[in-house]
Formats: sequence, C-alpha cells, structure tokens
Amino acid sequence: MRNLLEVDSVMISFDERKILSGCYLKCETGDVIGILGRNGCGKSSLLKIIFGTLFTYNKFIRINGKVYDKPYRYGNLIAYLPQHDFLPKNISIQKIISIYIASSEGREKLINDSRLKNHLKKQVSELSGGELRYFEIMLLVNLDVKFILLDEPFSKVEPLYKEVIIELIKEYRSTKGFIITDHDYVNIIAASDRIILITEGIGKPIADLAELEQWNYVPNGTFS
Amino acid sequence: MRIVFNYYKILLTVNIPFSFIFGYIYGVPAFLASFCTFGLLISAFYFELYYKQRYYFYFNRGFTKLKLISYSFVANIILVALFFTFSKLIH
Repeated sequence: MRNLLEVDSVMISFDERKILSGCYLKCETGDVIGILGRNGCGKSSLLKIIFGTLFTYNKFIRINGKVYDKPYRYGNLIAYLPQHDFLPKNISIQKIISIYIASSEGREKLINDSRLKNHLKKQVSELSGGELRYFEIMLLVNLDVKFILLDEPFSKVEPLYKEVIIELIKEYRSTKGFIITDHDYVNIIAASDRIILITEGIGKPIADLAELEQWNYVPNGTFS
Repeated sequence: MRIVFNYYKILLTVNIPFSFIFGYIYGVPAFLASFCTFGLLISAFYFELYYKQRYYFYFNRGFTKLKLISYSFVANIILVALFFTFSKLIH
C-alpha cells in the first residue's frame, strides 16, 4: 500500500525570530526527501513538528487523507531519529531489540543482521558512533510505521557506515517514505531523490544542484 | 508494556531513595505517600533533566510523557496497595 504524508503551512518562531514561515512538502512511500539548510534554519524543527513533539499553532499534517496533530502518539505512523543518541545505555542490544520491535520477523532480521549479530551482548555505550547510528536506524526502519524522519543520520559516522546507512534507506524505501536532513550534503544528495533547501523560512524544491550555489548554500563551483 | 517498564525502572532509581529519606524522617506512611506523588514527580523531573533525549525511545513507540508518567503512577499505586494487603495479612 502506498502512503502519503502531506505537510503544509508550517510556521514557527523562536523569541520573535521567524524560523519557518510556510513550509510545504509531500512524501509518499518510496520517496526519500533530503532537506538541506544552514545552521538554525529550522530543519530539525520541521522534523519535530511533523513528528508532533514540537508544538506550533501553524501546521497542517495529513497522512493518507487524515489530519493529525501529533502523529507520534499513534505509534504506527511516523518514527523519528533525533540528532543525539536516544537509546538507553544500560541494557544490551539484544534486550533493546526484544522490547522495542513488536514483530518476530523484525526481531529476527535485527538479530541476524551481519553488522549487529556480533554486538548483541554489548551495551549501547560500548558501540562506536557508526555502529550506534546504524543500530538506531535499523531499529526505526523495523518499526511498523509508514514514514521515517532522520535528523542527521550521518553525524559522527565514519565514511564506511555512511554508505551502509544509504544502502539501508534504499532497502526499506519500498515500504516506507523517508525525510532526511544532515549537514553532510554529499550523502544527503546521494541518498535522496528529491532535495528541498530551507532558506528564509521557506522550503525551496531544488531541481538542479547548481541552485544550491545560487542560494549560497554551497560555495560557487561545487556543482557547476 | 516492557518498554514502559524500562522507563519505570529508571524512575524507581530516583523515586525510592527520595521517598526513603521522607520515610526515614516522617515514617512509613510518608514514604508511601511520597512514593506515589512527590517522589514520582521528582523522578520524572530528573528524567526530563538528564535523559530528555531518551524520551524519543518511547515516543517512537507511541508513548507520550503523560502516558509514561500515568502508567508509572498506576504501578506505584498497585505496589502501595500490595504493601497494605501484605502488611494486613501479616498483622
């Protein structure tokens, strides 16, 4: 089944400074949408608003034709990878898998994953940055949700794992829609099939990568 | 519910010592009252202060802060009720 997430009219201000002033985006199952933008432009805020954990009066979030105020409360619509580690540190990887993943099929997949099976007895605090990010994303993609929001999935991740994470997104996009953001624009571009640049509070669809230069997001000559 | 228990266990690590101090000063009823009220709120505040990011672990499974704290409150009430039942049986 194809699912559709529509986000419109997202506005938010912090201390009277307007951060977002009317963002629109549409994500379907199979889409990987990359969001780029400078520090403090509202990328993470946008993801949190879509997820439902950041409040704003102005927003319109619709999934499969139904409007939601806080989609995360339903547990089967959206998952969100925050910028910082979010897993309990004091329990083993195996235990996290067993309490977090409801389906036995999902649990089997994680337990038998070639990159995880040697770490099952370890605690989260014993994983490297790349291993941890990979494990977090593996958990989220195996949840029974329709859309995944990834906030800085490549942050603190060694190059080899960045490729692995891109492969993971590609593998699961047949059943889910992805919205991802990171400062690592090279990998965001590699993983996404549509790019949106947030600038001046508005999400601008990027048709040609050279536009990123015109909007002063990357230095001139990067793509042209 | 195992995921809620994971949250509840973390709250207990703060709630029990906090309520124990109350109980040590004012007696067992104060311990039990604190365990269900102040102790719970203080431990939830502690979690918010030191493990805020970890809430996303529960959010992704559909558990809001209110749900988590409510379940913890109910669990505390059950524990206190069990305590009363057993102490009546013993006496």
